[in-house]
Amino acid sequence: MRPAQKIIPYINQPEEIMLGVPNYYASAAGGSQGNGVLIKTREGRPIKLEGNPQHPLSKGKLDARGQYEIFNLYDPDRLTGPLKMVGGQPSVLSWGTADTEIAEKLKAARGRIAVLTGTVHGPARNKVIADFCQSFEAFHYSYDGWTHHAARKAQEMSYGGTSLPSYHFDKAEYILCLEADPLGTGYSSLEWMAGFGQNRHVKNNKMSKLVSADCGTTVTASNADERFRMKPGMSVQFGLAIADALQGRGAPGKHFIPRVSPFESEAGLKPGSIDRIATELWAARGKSIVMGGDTLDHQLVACLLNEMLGNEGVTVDGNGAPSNQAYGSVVGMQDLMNRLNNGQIDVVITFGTNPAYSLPESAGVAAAFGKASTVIHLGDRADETGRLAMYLLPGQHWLESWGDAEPQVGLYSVIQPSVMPLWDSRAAEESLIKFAQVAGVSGLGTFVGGWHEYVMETWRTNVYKSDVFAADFTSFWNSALRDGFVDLRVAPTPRTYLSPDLANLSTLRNSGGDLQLVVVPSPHVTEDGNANNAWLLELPHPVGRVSWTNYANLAPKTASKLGLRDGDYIKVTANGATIEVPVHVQPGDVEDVVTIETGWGRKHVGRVGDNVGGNAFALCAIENGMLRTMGDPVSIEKTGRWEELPDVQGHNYTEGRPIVAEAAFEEYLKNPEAGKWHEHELVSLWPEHEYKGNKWGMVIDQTACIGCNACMAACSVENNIPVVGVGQIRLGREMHWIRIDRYYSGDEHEPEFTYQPMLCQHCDNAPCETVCPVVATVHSEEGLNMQIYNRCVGTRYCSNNCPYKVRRFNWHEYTFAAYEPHPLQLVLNPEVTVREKGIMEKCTFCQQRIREGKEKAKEMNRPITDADFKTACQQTCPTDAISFGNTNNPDSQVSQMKKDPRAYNVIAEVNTRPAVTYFTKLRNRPTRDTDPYLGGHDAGVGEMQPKEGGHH
Amino acid sequence: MSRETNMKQTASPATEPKNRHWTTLGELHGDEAALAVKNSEFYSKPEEFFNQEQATKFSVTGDPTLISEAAGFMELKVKQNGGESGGMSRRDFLKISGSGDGLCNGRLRLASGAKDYPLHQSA
Repeated sequence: MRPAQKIIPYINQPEEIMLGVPNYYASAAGGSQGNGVLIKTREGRPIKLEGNPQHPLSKGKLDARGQYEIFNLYDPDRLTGPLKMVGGQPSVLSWGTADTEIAEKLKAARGRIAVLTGTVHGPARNKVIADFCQSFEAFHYSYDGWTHHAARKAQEMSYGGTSLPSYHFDKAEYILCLEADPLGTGYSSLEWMAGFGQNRHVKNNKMSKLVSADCGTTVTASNADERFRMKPGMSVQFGLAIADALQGRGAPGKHFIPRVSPFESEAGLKPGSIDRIATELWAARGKSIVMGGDTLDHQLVACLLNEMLGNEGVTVDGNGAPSNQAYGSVVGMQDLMNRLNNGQIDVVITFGTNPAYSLPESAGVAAAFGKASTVIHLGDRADETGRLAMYLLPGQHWLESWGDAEPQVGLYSVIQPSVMPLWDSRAAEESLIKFAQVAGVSGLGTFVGGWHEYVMETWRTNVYKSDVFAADFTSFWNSALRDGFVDLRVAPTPRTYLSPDLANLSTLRNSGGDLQLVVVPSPHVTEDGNANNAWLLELPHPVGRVSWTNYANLAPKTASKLGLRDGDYIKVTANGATIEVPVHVQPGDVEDVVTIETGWGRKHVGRVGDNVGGNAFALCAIENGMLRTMGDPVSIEKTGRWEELPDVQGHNYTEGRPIVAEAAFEEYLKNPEAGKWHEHELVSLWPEHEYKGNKWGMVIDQTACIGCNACMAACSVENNIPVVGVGQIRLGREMHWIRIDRYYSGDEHEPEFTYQPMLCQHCDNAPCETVCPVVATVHSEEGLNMQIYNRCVGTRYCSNNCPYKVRRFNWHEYTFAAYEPHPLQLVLNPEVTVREKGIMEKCTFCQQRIREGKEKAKEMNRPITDADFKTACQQTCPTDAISFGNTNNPDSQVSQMKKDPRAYNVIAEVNTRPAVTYFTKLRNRPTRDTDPYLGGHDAGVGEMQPKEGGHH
Repeated sequence: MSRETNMKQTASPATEPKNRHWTTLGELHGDEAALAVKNSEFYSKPEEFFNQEQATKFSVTGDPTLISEAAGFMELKVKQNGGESGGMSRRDFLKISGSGDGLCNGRLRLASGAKDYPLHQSA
């Protein structure tokens, strides 16, 4: 029996805190994307992050990484106080001592100091670094693992400035990606997902079209309406061929376009493909976007195509409010290392970046840092770069500290602390101010106050304009804190295209070898502290559906040729470095390409993330100031070791029942019910439920869903979903209440992808309810299928009888003891029960939110409406694929949506009568019948006839 | 409104003329090992988790935290005695018994129109 635990109320209750009632604070995510967030706090501690609905980038959405950021705050492996390395061993020191010692070193090293950060934006954050550098005559360098330097270089060559453009996916009816993954790993991926999602809901018989030319199945490629698979780098020629075709259609300007014909036959495309895509793009000129991959060639071609299509200044914003979201530079990093190696730098201060991990060993980061007399690390943990430091002075999580953000020029956010610092830490910017003050230098050293005052003062002088804002500064500041942002962006105008020389494009290295290497960023794991985020590591890869490791993606033919299978460990060698990773055979990848994601293979990030997967950065080379990630020759060697991949796809036994409905958009226009399975009237033995009040229901638009996993992440945080670890995943015991099922259709070499969020369907005729021997799962009067935890005895009959396989059993103890060490328990949502070992659990349709919505409606003495609450998955879904509401209200959104001809229920033939409805997946491409150029696939589902003998 | 009237109550043919949608290469190719995993409802191997000692402890102490161990042990014994591999899987058993229950229950309910209520208050 568990001992009773005491609840101790406040003696002096803070005015703004009411026990049990959450407070929300607007802020901005501290990462490079700078999305507006709402921080939900309970009794003074953050428990959930959500997108700020008013913020123009996040639009109320948040991606998986953003949702799980809360875990990083409570990560027990963060530094807990200042440390100094003495004789190779850490020793504790006070902040005062640290400040005094460091101030002396800085004074002595004036002119020989470097500040190395990741991308920093925000007027105050930028200014404090600039002021520090001015005070100490220091140099500031920015470096990120993925610098987007190629994009900036291409912008410079094409338009004369190094700003990264902002892209308006919400205005784009046609998107062409040349080896680009804007939806998975773009520098403003959340904004782009949200914008993209707006045009994926069929309105007035229109939807956007996404075309991808690529060598690997990224999030974007897997969501493409049409995909052209080609060798690494060939998409450059693909783009040039389209440019050539556009010129024939009257695209403005005369551009020299290198001849790439006969490209189609060389790339194995059907004749006429280029012409058709060019025709479609031309029809969508001014309403399209072309995105290039992470090479200069791709980026230059993308600039050319956007220019020819008139997208510049419309969907591509290079001068109105361009992006500040990626400023890192390999060139800068090389310059720093040259200075270090030449003895020109004595003191290095680092935070927000981790070059010791994200640069190949051949770059010599450790050796160069070793030349500095003092390295000061202001990051939150002793990571790979931190371990090169003499002083480890813990920085703060952005939820603990002040700060600001300016992700796009003119779009300002204040980052405000929502909790007292958990440890003896200090914001890195605060440390810079303190160092200057203790050193007594001019400039920053004379500033009176701390980082909070500095942010306010900067906003007073740099953001607040008395002629623009009617209010005084205090009112303006309070308004900025309340709203979370100030939008002073200006509209773009078309820039002058400088017609860079494209004669030498397509210079991607021809390896001459059998295999080519492609290194891509992970959509989830980055080179910072989130590699120690257990929730994030357990989240399956959006496409591969493998969790807890990265892997070498090989096409089925390549794996077969090399005698490799899923889970075989291989040594991958490129550019003189070797890493060991498992093989994952990925249908749809291009043959003879080895694709590996970065972010994994950390040596020093924490107890969870150390030595998980392999570090793909190690395989890259640096060329022309850029990380070369594509096309290098690579060799692989089988190690003989095999481990089952923790692959969550295929766990679920569905008896081969029909689950996915899909159709080509062209078919849908002719027949709105195209793609749906043949339907029969069903007879039920059960009496009907009477729903006199509310009846909750959900609609999921599979056309809008891009499989990004944000819903899974939001659900985990909201509902205290435990992490079970790699071993339990292999046993099929993941605990996610909502999962994304990824289905392939077509053949293994050129499959199409469908993502299907699957959660408890809250069936009217719920098979789980009828078999529970202790009536632990019951039907509510509002149509919810409820699990009563303290009745459940763990027979698992309900799970056995669930055709959707959405019930989760607690095989182990995942209650408070599992959230050791401190402060992990603080991540738990107090509004949701933490379940014990031996009982069943599942999606509740976020019942706690329904109740909150009801209370809100009750206070206002009116019926509950759709606007009163959102489920966690619905709230965060970047593409608005999930809708939820009262189906008994004929005016509700879900009621209207359930009348759509595309609506269908999964496994309807077992007559479970689910409350969750799906929309047929539509692909905006011609049907096989009308387009002879499409190949490799069979007819659409809607054209299928049931096999003889099929049961009904 | 009694229920969602806007949704047609439908059924679908549960067979596919081809392996149209697939989730793993093993499934696509009909690989035996992959299908064995795919078609296995119970990944768990009871012997990995449950033992007689725990089951006995439950029977002696009645510790509710051990009930799943005891249940697992019972399942293990049934399996070891050929219960699951001896002819009828648990799923098939449940299909038959469930159908029987459903028919009886449905008939009774139709006849009486009485409602079932879960236990409201325990002693």
